[in-house]
Amino acid sequence: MATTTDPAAGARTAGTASDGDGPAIELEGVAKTYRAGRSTVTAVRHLDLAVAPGEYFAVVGPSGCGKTTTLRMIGGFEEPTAGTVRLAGRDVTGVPPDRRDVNTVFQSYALFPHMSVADNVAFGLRRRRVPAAEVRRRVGDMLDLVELTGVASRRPGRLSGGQQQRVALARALVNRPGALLLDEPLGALDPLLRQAMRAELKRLQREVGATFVHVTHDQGEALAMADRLAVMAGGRVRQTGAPAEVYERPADRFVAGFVGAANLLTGTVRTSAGGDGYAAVDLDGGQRVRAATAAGPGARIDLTVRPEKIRIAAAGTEGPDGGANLLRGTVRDAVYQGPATHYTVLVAGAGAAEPVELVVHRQNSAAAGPALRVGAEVRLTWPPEHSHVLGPA
Amino acid sequence: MRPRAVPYLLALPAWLWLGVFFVLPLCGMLSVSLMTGDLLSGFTQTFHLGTYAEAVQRYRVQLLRSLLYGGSATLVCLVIGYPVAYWIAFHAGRSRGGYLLLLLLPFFVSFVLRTVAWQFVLADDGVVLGTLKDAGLLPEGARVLNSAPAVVFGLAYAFLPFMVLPIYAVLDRMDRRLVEAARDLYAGRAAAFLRVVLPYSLPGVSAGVLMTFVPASSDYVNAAVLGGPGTTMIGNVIQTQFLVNNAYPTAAALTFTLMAVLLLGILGYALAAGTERMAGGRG
Repeated sequence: MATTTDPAAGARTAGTASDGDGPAIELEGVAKTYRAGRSTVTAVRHLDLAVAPGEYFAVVGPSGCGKTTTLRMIGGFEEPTAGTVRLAGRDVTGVPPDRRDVNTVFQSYALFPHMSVADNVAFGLRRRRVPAAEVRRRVGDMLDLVELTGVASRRPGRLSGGQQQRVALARALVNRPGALLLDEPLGALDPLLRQAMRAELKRLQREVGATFVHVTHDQGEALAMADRLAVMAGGRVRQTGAPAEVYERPADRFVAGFVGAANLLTGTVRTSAGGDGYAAVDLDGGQRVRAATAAGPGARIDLTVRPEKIRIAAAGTEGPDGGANLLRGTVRDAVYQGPATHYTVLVAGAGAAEPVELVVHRQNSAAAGPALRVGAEVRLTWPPEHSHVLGPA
Repeated sequence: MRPRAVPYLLALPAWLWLGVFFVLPLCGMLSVSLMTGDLLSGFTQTFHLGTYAEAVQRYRVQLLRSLLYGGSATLVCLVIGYPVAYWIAFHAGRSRGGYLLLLLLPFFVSFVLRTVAWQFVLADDGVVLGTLKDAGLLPEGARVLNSAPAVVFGLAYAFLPFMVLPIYAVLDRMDRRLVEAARDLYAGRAAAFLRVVLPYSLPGVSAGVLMTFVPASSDYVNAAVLGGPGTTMIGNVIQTQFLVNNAYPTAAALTFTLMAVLLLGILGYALAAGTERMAGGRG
């Protein structure tokens, strides 16, 4: 155990001693099936995942996608039915939670109600037989770090939700774990506090320098906080990457729809990519757009355009489109959101049977023209590099 | 009607019930305990406190024995009942209701009848002892009835659910993640139990101890049915004084003494265990 006075320095070295460069957490071919009566339920199927030391990693997906089960298998609360879990290079499959160098911040925190805040935070250190003087010092330092010194002697039940959240963080981080596992850590907070805690969590992670694995169903939270994130669905990882990569270049229809509004278009490649790298695509409704794809003529493709990439203007205000994609439609819905207005536009000739609805976000900046009314004829334009072609879903 | 009065009105039947069937008899009993006289010449109110001193002096042994038996039975209930409550709450899964029903099933039979059934089972030549003696496993003179252990185990059997249910109630509503959190923070199975589950369940243990100890100490059926002359408890004395000797003041004085002793015991216990736990509250 490191005996440095700086908690951050300790966290960087603790538990990752065996090899410094390998992943802090590694799941290899991990699967988990539950027996429910006569049938079996598969929570996680063949999962491969690697989290680098010091990384803020988010696992995001709808409820029932297996993200919490994945976290619980890293923590040691569930044993995988197949595959290997490695922490800092060491195989910990089958090792109980008390002998794993990770700590968990539980959903709804699971603070010990019969102990004071300070005793809650000291719990792990005392179990590890850290000398009393050092326990006192480290608990004090940690409570300072999460700004809870004033409530050290109170019971957790007397604290606000945000304070309880920070106690849970302190209780886990004080042990300087190789990785911190957070299960929907902001889920129980009200929206305003949630925003504030996002920044707080990021600050803590920077200061302690520990590996964080954050499980959430909130894609906005995952995009805002993670260095890298994995999108899960149906017990599988659908895509792993940096937030911008996952958002701008979603791997499939599911990821495109889950991480932001999808604006899905389906069509057939008409001519393969020319010198500028863009192929002409005939949408199922007859209109034509350009997109970067290697697919040859006749290939069926899905493509998406993110709502803020599309420029919306009233029909008739024709300007130079500079080779941009152009679709015409009718405003069906306009929702004023403060900084931006979200339009839903019905585009004829973009879908096979029915007109396609596209969502467009327009900044209400000084340069923006007058608001567009429902029923207005509009033209939508976007540069072809923002027509993102999806892989098979 | 003012809505503010509604809760009080709703509580009225309970207050009336308590007043008519508890407070009034209690006052009557208090009055009787201070009377002098006998059944033939009648009892007159003389505010004679001496009855208390005489009664306590005379039946000191039975009073202490009651507390000892009650305490022992409570201990037996705790040792047997805690694991039962723990197991039902944590490991019985969806059949928890069934196991609780099994636990309460004997209570569908009259208290006295159950005790008499034990008398039959534990009789000197009954099914258990007789068989063991025939098999040569016990000496011919061995007996269970008419002994202190028989009374204590009878009491423990009678009041076991009063120990199990409050402990079960606390453990059942305990967030299982508390145990996981303890394991996550390097506590082994034993440490997680001792540091988290056990302290968490103490309010239930406190309630169980009280609910067992109070009725067990003042019980007279078990001592009468399973015990002998050497195991008389204070309840038996009160019963005899009331119903056989018609020494009403003595019986009433003993009743009040028992009440006072139990109340003092509860108070001391409450102070030791902490009022927060007694109320089942957890800040």
